[in-house]
Amino acid sequence: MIYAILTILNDKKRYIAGILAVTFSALLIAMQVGLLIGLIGVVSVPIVNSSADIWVTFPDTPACDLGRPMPSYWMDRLWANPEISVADQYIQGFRYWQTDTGKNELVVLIGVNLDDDSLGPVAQLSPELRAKLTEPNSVVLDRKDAKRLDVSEAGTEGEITGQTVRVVGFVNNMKGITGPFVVASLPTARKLLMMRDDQATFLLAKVKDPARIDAVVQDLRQHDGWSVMTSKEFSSKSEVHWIGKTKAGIALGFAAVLGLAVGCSITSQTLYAAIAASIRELAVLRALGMPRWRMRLFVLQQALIVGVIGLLIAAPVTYGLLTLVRSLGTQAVMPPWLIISVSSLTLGMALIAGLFSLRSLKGVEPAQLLR
Amino acid sequence: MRGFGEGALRSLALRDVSIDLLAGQTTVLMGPSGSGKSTLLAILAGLLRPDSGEVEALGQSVVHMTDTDREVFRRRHCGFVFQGYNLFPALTAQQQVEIVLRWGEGVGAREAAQRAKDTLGLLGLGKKMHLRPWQLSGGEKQRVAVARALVKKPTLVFADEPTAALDWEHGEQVVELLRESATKENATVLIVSHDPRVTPLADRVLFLADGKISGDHSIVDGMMENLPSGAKEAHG
Repeated sequence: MIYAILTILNDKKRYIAGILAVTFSALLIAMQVGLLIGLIGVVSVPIVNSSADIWVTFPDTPACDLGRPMPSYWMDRLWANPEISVADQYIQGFRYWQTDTGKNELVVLIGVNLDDDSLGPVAQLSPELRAKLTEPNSVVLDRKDAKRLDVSEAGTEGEITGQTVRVVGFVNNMKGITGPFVVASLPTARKLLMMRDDQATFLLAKVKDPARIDAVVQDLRQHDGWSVMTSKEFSSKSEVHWIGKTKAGIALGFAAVLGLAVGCSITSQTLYAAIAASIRELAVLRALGMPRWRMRLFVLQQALIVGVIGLLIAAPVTYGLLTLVRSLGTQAVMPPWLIISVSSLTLGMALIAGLFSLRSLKGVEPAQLLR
Repeated sequence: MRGFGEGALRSLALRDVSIDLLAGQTTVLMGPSGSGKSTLLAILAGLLRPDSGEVEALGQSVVHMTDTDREVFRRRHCGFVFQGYNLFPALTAQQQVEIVLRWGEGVGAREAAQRAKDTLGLLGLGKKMHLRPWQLSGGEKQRVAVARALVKKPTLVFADEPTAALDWEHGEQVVELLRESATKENATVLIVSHDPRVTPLADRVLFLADGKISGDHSIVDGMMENLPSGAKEAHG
């Protein structure tokens, strides 16, 4: 390995194109996936912001924003389970928000229990806001979405389903993707979504012993007429559904393949040229009987080192870009699994580039050294 | 016999050549450009296959070996010095030499370094072993190339125009070093050269013209003598 490292360090200019190609590929894939996951992750904001361990939905609900009304009195089934400490209900649905200027904007209307033991996504709601929301037809918005709904300050009014609603305050970190989240009390939400009093979109439960969550889910699944999931399962299910539904996964796959292909061909050409430049030195070693596999290993070691250096450059650049796009208001994320996957993928790409460049060794013929 | 090209363009580089090279002797193969010297060296060293004929070295038929066997044969027994130095620009003199042991014989890093240092020390490069090719003179570079060829103590040493790129002072040093491996290690040394100044340093001089051996002389006290005809036989 030391000879490969020395060779690259000694001739950085020759290898820089390959190194930057790896950097480019890693950066492209990491940023794209990070941005997409961040974007899709908004779908499960209500789940993440809720303190429920278990989500009960209308049978086979694919995502958090696609719930359908179910009997809220089924909460009895939850209370009947001795391992459940709190049962709650939660409402979510799409509605149009009409502004004074006549603009219509799709919003995600959510109705939450405002009590202290609420399991709904009330993490962002201060006790003061919760108190204000008890007034009929009062709602709360994310501050960043306010402008979209022509709302400038608390007290501004809007219209949903022909009924006037009043904005009583703002929260942070509840920015929506399909439309702004509009938070209301359960009665207000029911009224605006034209839902019966004995209906809710989701039932929520908190389990006394967190280690027993899966077991309780299994127990609850024995009832008919609903689907039961842990909050983690429902959150992933919602995100996977939207990645598939929007075909974003396919677009992402294409972009990733393209990034890898470009990176691979540049890295391969770089290595090819580098090996071609030391073909006479390698030919002497062939004359001295060095086996071909040693030369191949030498090329693959160079490919690996080019990959590692490329990744080392990509890391701070990705971090910088991530900070930049977050400051611009996107929800880009970079979980450890993504860092590990992108690193493995680009290192794999560098090694494949190394395999492609092995053909340069065909020219290593000791007899050519004789004049 | 060895030819190149095809059909009407085919030309024979070597024909009816038969020579015996002896252990402990330095043989110089001389001849004009295009006489087939390098081709003969390549065939004797197992780098090229003749179209017909036989090469036997250390009791083995080099011609009939598989490519892998010839590779192993070269690894175990052959050392090469070429006209160009062909040194890796990134590696120090010591690394150029130890890479042969590490890649070829799988010798450990410490032992390879020690043996490389010993060999370079014997060739007068003790103080230059940490330098890279661009920091060495032409003569020093060729001595590193010689060290690379001799570090594994080969029984067969082949050198193709090893002095061509050097002034005579350095060229003479290089030939002396190769000659020492014949006298001290009992190696068979074959040097291809067109430089007549090399001949007094050899034990024997062969002349090649138009692909045939045209003269075979032993060197006594730096003077060329004809070998008795019994030492030369023709087949192949």
